[in-house]
Amino acid sequence: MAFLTTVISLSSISLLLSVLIILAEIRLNNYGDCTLDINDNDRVLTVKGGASLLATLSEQGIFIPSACGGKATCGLCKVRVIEGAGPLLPTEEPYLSEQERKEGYRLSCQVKVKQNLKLFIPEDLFNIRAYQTKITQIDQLTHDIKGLRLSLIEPESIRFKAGQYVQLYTRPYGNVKEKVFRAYSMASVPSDSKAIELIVRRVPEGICTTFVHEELKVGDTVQVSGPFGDFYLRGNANNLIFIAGGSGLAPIRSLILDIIEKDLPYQMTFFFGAVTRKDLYYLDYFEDLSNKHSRFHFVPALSSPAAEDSWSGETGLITDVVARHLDTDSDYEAYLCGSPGMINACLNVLNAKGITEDRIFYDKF
Amino acid sequence: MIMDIPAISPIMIFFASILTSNMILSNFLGMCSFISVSNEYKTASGLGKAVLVVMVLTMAINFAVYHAIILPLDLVYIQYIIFIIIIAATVQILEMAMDRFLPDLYIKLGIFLPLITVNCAILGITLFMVIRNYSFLQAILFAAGSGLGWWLAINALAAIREKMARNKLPRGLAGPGIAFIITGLMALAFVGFSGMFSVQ
Amino acid sequence: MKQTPDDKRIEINLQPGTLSADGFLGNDSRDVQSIIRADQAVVDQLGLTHELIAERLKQLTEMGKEGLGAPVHSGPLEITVEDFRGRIFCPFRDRAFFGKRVTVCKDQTSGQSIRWSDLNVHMIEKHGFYEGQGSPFRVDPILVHQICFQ
Repeated sequence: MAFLTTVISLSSISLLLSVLIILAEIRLNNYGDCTLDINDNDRVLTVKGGASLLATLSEQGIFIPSACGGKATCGLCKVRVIEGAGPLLPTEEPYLSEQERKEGYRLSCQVKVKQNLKLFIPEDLFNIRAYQTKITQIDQLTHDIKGLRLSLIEPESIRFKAGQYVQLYTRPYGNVKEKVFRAYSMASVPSDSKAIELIVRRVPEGICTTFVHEELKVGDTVQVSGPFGDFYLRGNANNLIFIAGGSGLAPIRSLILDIIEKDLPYQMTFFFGAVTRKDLYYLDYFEDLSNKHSRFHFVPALSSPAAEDSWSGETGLITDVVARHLDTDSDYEAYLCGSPGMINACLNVLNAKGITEDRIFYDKF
Repeated sequence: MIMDIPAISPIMIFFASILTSNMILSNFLGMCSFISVSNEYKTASGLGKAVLVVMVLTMAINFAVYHAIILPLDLVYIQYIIFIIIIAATVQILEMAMDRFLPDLYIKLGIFLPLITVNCAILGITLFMVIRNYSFLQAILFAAGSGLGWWLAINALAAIREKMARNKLPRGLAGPGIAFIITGLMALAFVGFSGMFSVQ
Repeated sequence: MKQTPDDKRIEINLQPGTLSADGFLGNDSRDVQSIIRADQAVVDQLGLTHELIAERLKQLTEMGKEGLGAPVHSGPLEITVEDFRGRIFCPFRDRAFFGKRVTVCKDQTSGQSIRWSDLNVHMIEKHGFYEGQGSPFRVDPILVHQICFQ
């Protein structure tokens, strides 16, 4: 009898508590349907509440750029929320300036959708889609740089501005248990809309670049999302200067090919810097291009060519080479992509040549 | 097992459980989180507040369950199991409620709440309540006092550890070693309160 | 002793495949705290501090940056600084993150060389962490002393 009381009372207490937790879950964790009012009634979405704003939006096909995957460490997923976001959380504080707080900016990975929200999202972000793609070509461009061509499966085509980038998602491999994504600029022309090309330089110990260099094979399917970024042609001057180092060639190639294809009336000079001959690639490609098009000039430069390179082109730091080729009185617009060191050094040279900050656009690694 | 309710004023119990019979410094309960989460003053204070809230809440529920279910049904021999599952369930529901209504506090305390489920001081006060046969008011003030006392102790330890973070220590003592020694010294200092009042 | 959620996350961050492909611990079976303590003892013995080492490494990286990828010479040292695409967060969850800049410093007289990233410098300065034995970016304090403090 005592045994029975024990079993019955313990079970009923456990049962009661479980029911309480389930009830609490239903009452407290279920936020029902909420409406998201984006850009002043421009788009009104009805979504299920309870998840983070970042995840909710991406489920609706709106991709806010984020690098840390919702852990409040990158501070990239800022979105302006006018109504319904609740109090500012301590996890967001370090990433928002006084000005941004006043304007209602929040980290979308930290804001939970609990009620109807009013928010503003830049128009460009609506173009961003997730794409299923298939690798159709892999080229070994240098000892540590590979070129990829991905043809799009679903959706079948992409619209982007030359110079923008996409995020490439890895599969779990080897020690890497989770899917990660990294950003790579597109090297192909926007008119080639059924495929994209990426240029990936191997990063020592990099999770995604190691994946691209070691694991990826022709025929594999990979996921990308995009396009992102504000590195694209403004075209407010007659002379355009492009400066690239390493894998920074990618967006520059896209820009140049786009301008040539559209037959825009700009004079273009492309400076491509590397240390030795083995770091240069696409040399013949661009030389060929400059022979065919009188408005395009190609200046490859090596900072310390090895003896066996038999290099007859420009020699010296890329900054010196650029300085030698620019006049002070022409009107220029400059597009830079490469390492922070290279970009900072080039900014100084360009400023010294009288090119103002508002005419210089760059994509720092 | 009929016992009389002890004839001590609840207010007395409240102050005694903060100072003379401090949960950590005289009963040495709840040591694991006390030692491991006392590196930083801010987080320690967060944990302290969470312990305080959970202590009062679970004491109220456990008191009711003890008198309404355990005693009448003669279930004293499985009371530990019942108390523990009640504490676990309470913490879980509390977590959900906070996420909904107080999101900023939830983020501040959130990660500590699951830790508290297994904090022995929480179960400890319930068992003291049973042994000492407190009345409801006595039990609640006992829980509040114990929570405040725990908060006070972890704040003090965290402040001391933060102050000494840059000091050079013998290698074997760095980390938990020195924390135990500091705790011992703090306990000795708290003995000084014992003349003020005694409830046990 | 129980771990706080933070410690747990740090441990995961140090594993292979979370922040870097091979992780920060190499084939070292010791835990982080033991690695830090062991290196602390070595650094003490060399008469150095984490701050001094970090300061010197920073100084060499600054010097090497001038080359924009090409080697720069300073006495017997040949310093090459290369930038790679992307950023890496500090595994110790202090919200610090760094560009992937790698400095290779070679002593041309002895032929020894050592490499470090900007993240290494931060971890040495702020956390006293030189990475585990066998980790690809282990900055061995003895080697640093031999090469960079001549």
